Amino acid sequence: MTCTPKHRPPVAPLWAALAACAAVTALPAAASAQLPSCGGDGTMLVSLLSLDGDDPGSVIEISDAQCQDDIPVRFRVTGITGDKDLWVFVGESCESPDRRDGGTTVAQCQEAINMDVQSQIEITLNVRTNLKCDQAISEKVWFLSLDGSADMNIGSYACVELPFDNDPPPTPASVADASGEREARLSWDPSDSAADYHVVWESTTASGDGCGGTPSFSAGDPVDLDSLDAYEGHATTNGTNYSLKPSQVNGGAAWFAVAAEDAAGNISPLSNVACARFVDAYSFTEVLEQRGGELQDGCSALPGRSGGPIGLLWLLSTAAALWLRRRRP
Amino acid sequence: MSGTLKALLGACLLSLLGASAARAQVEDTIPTERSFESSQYFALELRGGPYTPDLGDGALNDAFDTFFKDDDDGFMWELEFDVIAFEYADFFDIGIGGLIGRAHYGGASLEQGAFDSGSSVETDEDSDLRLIPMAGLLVLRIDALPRKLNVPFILAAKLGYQWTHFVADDGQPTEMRGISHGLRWALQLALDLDVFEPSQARMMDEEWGINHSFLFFEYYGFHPSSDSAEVGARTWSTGLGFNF
Repeated sequence: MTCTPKHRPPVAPLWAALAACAAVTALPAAASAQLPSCGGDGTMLVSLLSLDGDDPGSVIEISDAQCQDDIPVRFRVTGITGDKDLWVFVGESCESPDRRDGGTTVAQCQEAINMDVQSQIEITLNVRTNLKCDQAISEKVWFLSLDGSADMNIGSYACVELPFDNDPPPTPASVADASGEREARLSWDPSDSAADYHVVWESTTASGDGCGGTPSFSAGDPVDLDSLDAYEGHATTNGTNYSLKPSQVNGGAAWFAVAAEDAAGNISPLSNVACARFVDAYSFTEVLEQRGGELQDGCSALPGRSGGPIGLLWLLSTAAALWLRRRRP
Repeated sequence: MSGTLKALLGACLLSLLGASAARAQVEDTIPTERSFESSQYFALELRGGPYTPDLGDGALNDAFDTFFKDDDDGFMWELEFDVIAFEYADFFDIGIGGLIGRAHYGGASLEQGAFDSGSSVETDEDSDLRLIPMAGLLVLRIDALPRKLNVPFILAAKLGYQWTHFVADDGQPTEMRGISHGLRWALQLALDLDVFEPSQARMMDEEWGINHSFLFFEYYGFHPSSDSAEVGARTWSTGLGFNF
């Protein structure tokens, strides 16, 4: 059971066409409750079934689809014989069409189309999937079912490569050590296709110009949304920096690392681990305050005393000059 | 800083080149001699140059160099506008003017412990100093050389009073600011561009009312009064000026 792609999108799969790896394969008619699988993430099974033992026809075409509000798919069925009721079911793990009347698995199926067909040689169906391009799914299964008796025959199936993006963005690079008094400004290089960044940290103590101890996480560790709470602290930002405050850390320093998340929800592994330290900072303003008493004293009394009259005199002089020039041709 | 200075000099050179290019188009139609000259009321100068304030104390100056080590000679932009109050045609004029400028010094706050021990370890927090000078000036400009002898140099002397608003800011709510005031003087040597491009100068006068244009070098000083903050300096600047 192999899927041979008809064509593949030229670049990344996300916005590219729904590449029908549409090896439309006719299977020998056999009673089976299990549909074949398509072999992995980001694929979808379209299968035509017959429940009356007749030839169920063939899925002969699966058209390209684009990312819209949801992913629409069009496929064409041919070779239907007799009067049939045609169902299209959509759903994840929707694997047992013969139990659609109440089986637990079938409960996850969503009926997309239910229509009468009468000996139609060919019928084209356009189905909206309710699948989003930014959804990360393991596998979706579709099937078409032609009603009849209790016997089910699998007629043909096709595997479709969905335009889902399952590739994580690159890991943020150049995550740098940081230090400050009121904040430690963590920064890193942007990661292509990243929509958000998750910063995780763990308190420690400062040791010289660095952090003491060893962090419990390291570069390359996998990250998912559920695991973020396992870190001592984490935050999400859409920029390439984050201001870590002393109140967010127990102690004078913290190990931290960054993971990038793309719009499809894929998260990169952790970046390199860097150190943020909270130190007493000394600014030039404080130097002026501490060493330049005369500077500060001088400021407070200046504007209204000797400077003011001179400024007024200058303004009057300028006005007089303008007035004199106005009178001269 | 040096990049900005180069940009300023480049702009001056471009104005010269532009004048040369325009000359080729107009010299056939506009006579070189000026039979017409519009009234001259104002002067405008745009200039820039290094400015390192002398904070009047060795330790403060050392701290300034430490905090702003990549930016410690700053770059002071100034725009001066003069009203020509008296004019003795083709010899000299006296103007009353005002200027405004800006210099910014940017650096990082340092780790206290390292600073106290004589070294500097930068933090991620900023430490800035901004100077905004404003001055009223009496300007004497002598242009007899280019007008009478065709020697393209104009001399100018300026004397006035300056108020410099300074702000030391490190992101804390209590930034330090104040106004320092004192004497301001300047000596200027300008290269008169009219001599090189008389036809272009005539065209600019007729079409734009710009009587003269000049490139200049100016040496100037700001001496804060004794009760003022020490942010003065003696330094130079260069730029482009117009009479109109």
